[in-house]
Amino acid sequence: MEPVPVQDVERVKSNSNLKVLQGPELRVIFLGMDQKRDELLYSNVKGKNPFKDKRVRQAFYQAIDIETIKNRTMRGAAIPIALMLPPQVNGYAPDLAKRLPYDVEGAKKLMAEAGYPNGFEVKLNCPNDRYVNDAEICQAVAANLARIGVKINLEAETKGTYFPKILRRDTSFYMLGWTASTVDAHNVLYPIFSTPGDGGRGQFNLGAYSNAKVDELTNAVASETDQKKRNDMIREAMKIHQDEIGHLPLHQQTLNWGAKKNVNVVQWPDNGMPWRYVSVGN
Amino acid sequence: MQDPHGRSPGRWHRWWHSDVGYSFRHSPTAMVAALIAFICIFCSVFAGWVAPTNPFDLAQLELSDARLPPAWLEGGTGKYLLGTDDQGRDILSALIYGARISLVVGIASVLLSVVVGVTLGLLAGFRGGWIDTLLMRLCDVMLSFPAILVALLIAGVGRALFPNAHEGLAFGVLIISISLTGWVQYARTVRGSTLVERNKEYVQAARVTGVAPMRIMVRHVLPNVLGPVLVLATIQVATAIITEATLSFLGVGVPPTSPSLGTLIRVGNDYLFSGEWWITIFPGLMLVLIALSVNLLGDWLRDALNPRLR
Repeated sequence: MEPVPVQDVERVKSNSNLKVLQGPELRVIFLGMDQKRDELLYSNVKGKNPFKDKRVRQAFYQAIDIETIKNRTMRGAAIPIALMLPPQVNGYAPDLAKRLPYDVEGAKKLMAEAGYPNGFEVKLNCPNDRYVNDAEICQAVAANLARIGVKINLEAETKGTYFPKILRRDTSFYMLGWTASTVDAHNVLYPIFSTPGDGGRGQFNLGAYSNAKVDELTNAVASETDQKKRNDMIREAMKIHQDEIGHLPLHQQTLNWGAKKNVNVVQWPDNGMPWRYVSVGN
Repeated sequence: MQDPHGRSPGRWHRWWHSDVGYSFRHSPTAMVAALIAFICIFCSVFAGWVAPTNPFDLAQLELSDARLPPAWLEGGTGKYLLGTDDQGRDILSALIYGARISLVVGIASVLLSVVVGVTLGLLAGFRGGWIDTLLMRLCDVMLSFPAILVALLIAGVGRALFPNAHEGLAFGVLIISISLTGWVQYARTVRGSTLVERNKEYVQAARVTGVAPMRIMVRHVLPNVLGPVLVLATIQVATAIITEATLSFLGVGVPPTSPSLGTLIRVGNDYLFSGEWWITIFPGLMLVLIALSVNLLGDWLRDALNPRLR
């Protein structure tokens, strides 16, 4: 069974015929903001785009109480993360892996500096059946942001209508989960960090974050063969994106698979399940 | 009728001593049901004063208080009498505010379907001919679809037409989609009664004296066919509340940040077997209570207004 709902992990574990396999997944859950349009599609701020202001993005980041979301909403089954890729992926830079602190007062101050002392209103698009407790996380984020005066109009819907909508970029603020399925940072830099262009470039960069240096580094990373040099370039691109707060990373999801005791299965962190690694004993 | 002091009795007094009032006084079921319905409506109308917290104000929610058990269980606190849900909402307050959404949607959609259903039913029954055929075949078509399917379709179209819809508009779509499936029953009932009434002497007399057909319909026939409609309406309020719960359960109803009873039940369902039963059980009980009391009132009204049962 995949996934075991986090609230039922203990119940499945307590059954003597069943077991729960747990481990980190490569998937990183994050929120993205429209940073391209001059006016947001779904907000009460007219004539300008508040997400173009780094202070607003930072205020949003610091207003999110990720530890409580981990403990309550995810019941511990999540690893708060500072980078847009998990430690298991090549290019992860441990020295950058430090989240900005949760700081409501600081966030309020940033909002006031940016010219929104009373906050503003924006719609948050969210799936309700794609990631572990996705709609619940969005509700918790909406409650967090309410404390800095931001009114979130939450639209949680099924993935069948959600993904076509956000892939049309018909959103101002959205949730996405990303697995670097090549287990290399280029699979984050190219689809998520790059300025949207041809051939899948920036295909999942739905808020159109754009930085010329990051684009240049992404191209260089694609053809560099010296591991050390390549990882340095990845690190530099990661650092730029992190300093600009291009996205709001939330956490690394963890896997919860349920199986009968006699089933031998290898848990892959990409959440794939190759049949050749599954066998049934006695 | 005058009392010894020469004052004419009030409306309430006259009702209390009428046949219907007599039947009410002698039906404990009706009295209890009326009391429960009254309490529910009172609490919902004055939710702002009755409820301990405002569960729709996101800034008040404490996520760290999520999924606390009711006060009398271990781990519960007096602050949250019936416990909290997965977002730290006080269940008691969420019940009261949620019941308000459910009641508003239930009553508004029934009113709308009564207006549409009675008008079309009256027209079909009184005019007959091709209008009757057209309207009744339309009813047949509507009846051949399950109500939820039609409501889902309308709610889906409404959402597609107004992607920027605020909560208010979402309510409108919800109410319209429920009432557009509900009017058929009123139309059929009223048409049947109108067919009986329109050949009676008083209608013929009115016609002979030259009263306009419109006036005959509204002033003469309508009051005589309204009895069954009243009964049907009370029963339909409960049905509409349940339909709203179902639509919210399916995700096309009210947004998750301002949950109705249906949304609360859906969210709680996920935790029913994980030990946190209170998230779904209390909203479920509240829904049963409202639906049951309104249904019992409708039942009693049917018996009280039915001359053959006296």
